[in-house]
Amino acid sequence: MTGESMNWTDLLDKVCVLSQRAGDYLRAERQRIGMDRIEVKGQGDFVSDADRGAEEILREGLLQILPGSVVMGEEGSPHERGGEWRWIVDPLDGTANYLAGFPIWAVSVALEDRREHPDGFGPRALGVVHLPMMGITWEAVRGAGAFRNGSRIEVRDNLPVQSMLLATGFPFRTRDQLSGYLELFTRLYRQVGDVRRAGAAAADLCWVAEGTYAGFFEMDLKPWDIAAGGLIIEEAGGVISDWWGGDSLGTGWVVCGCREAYDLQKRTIEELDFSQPDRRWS
Amino acid sequence: MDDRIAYQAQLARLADAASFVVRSVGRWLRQERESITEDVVEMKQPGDFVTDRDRMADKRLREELLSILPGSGVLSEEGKAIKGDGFWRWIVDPLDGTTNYLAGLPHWAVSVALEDRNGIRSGWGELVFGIVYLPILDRLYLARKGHGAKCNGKPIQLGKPRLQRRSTISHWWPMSTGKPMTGFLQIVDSLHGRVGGIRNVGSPASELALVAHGELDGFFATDMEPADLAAGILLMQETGGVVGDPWGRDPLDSGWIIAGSEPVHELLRKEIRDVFRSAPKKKDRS
Repeated sequence: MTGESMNWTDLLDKVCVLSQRAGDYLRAERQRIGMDRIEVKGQGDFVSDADRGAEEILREGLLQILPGSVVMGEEGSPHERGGEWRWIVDPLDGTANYLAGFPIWAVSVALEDRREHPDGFGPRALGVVHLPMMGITWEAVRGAGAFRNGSRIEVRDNLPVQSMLLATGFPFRTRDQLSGYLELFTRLYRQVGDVRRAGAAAADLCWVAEGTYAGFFEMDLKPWDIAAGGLIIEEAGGVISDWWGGDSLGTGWVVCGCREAYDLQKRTIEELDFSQPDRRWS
Repeated sequence: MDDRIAYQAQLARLADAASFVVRSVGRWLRQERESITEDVVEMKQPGDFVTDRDRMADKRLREELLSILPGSGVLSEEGKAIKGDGFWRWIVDPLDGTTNYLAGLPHWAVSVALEDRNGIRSGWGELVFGIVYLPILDRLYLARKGHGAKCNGKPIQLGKPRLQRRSTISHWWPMSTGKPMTGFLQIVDSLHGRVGGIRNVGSPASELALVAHGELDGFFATDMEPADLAAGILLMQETGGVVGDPWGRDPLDSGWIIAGSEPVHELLRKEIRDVFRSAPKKKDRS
């Protein structure tokens, strides 16, 4: 199928409905299995069950929506590289929040156009991030703007630095990077209004897109954490890259924001001269 | 005995009336949020924005709380203190989490506590009830001294603590970016890998309510104002949680607070005391 022959509006509607279905499933699962049951069974097990269930819903639906496409997802196929059109999905971003009952967790779905980029990441054509507990769905199609529950959103420009609210996540997977991260955090924290950590990267990216946060930075994220939110930021007029200026999906070290917040963070990152990680996603 | 029954009945009535007031002011704030534009946002200092709506909510709360309890005093985060006749005092935070409110994040709250000051000349009286309302989530938390805590009318309990490595701890960064900041970074560094997640939610009254409700496992902060904490402290106590200052002082005086189940509280107390060797000086802020 060619990109030109696709009905993007129709595709986007279908993906939104599907993401909401996966979100409803997760929400129901969380309510069905009370906290006591989770303690008995082991929290890790429960999350993988719910995660896998939601990813199955997404996989089945997405392959129906776009026959011939492939799905890259954390649970089933983290290294799926075939196909011209690839879905990059995170059925449950923010698992710790989900388990705790803290309402910030997301379903994230992006569609990547690999026709001219069979090896690296191609441009993301469509992105949907859904927050079931808050009733929020963010969506974007490349070239057609970004939306929250149907209303157009844009990053918030022209904020003085001391009024900027940034978001971040601490590098819990990469402890050896912690001291560099803490230095970066401190330098930024001293200049901006405040820094938040809500614990779900896909949602953080969308809050940047709608101007709630001025910017966001984090080390070592996965492609499925970033793919949908990244497109939504770009379509909302924001900037996103990895810490060395490349595609954010490659290293997963993400920096983004409105232009001023992006520049501020990127400049501070450069001052600290972080070395690029060896591992790259594709 | 009859006096005690009458006293408790009066408190139950006051708590209901105050809940109604807090809920209606919270809903009003939520509606007003959409009409807020950038030019009404006036900045006191970085990280501490105050909006018009904050002041208006404060005014509405004062008027309505004083009308349900004439002669009472008011200690508010926003406007000036009213001494009153010395028997009762409201401790009010009309909009806890102003930055979140402005930014459009869901965690902000209206927080009101009632203090019985009968026979008290200085220091703090007894907190008899506390209310924290989160308008975006439409949750009204109410704790009454000795009568437990409820969320939207349903009783809540802290319950069995989660495993430490699964627990989620929220905290506030200190106002000063000098020594206190370095200390907090050290604590966060030390907690990493030992707890499940660390969050910065940005609304202390909400955070205390969420710990009491079990959505967060712990909270710690310094530089807190009494109005940020009063209602949340009672919520913690009435759900069976542990809440206090790392050096055993009253959090309302010191501005330091640790809240959580007993093991989480102990973990955080130890971390803070390891890093901040001596207790900063105490002051009476009542």
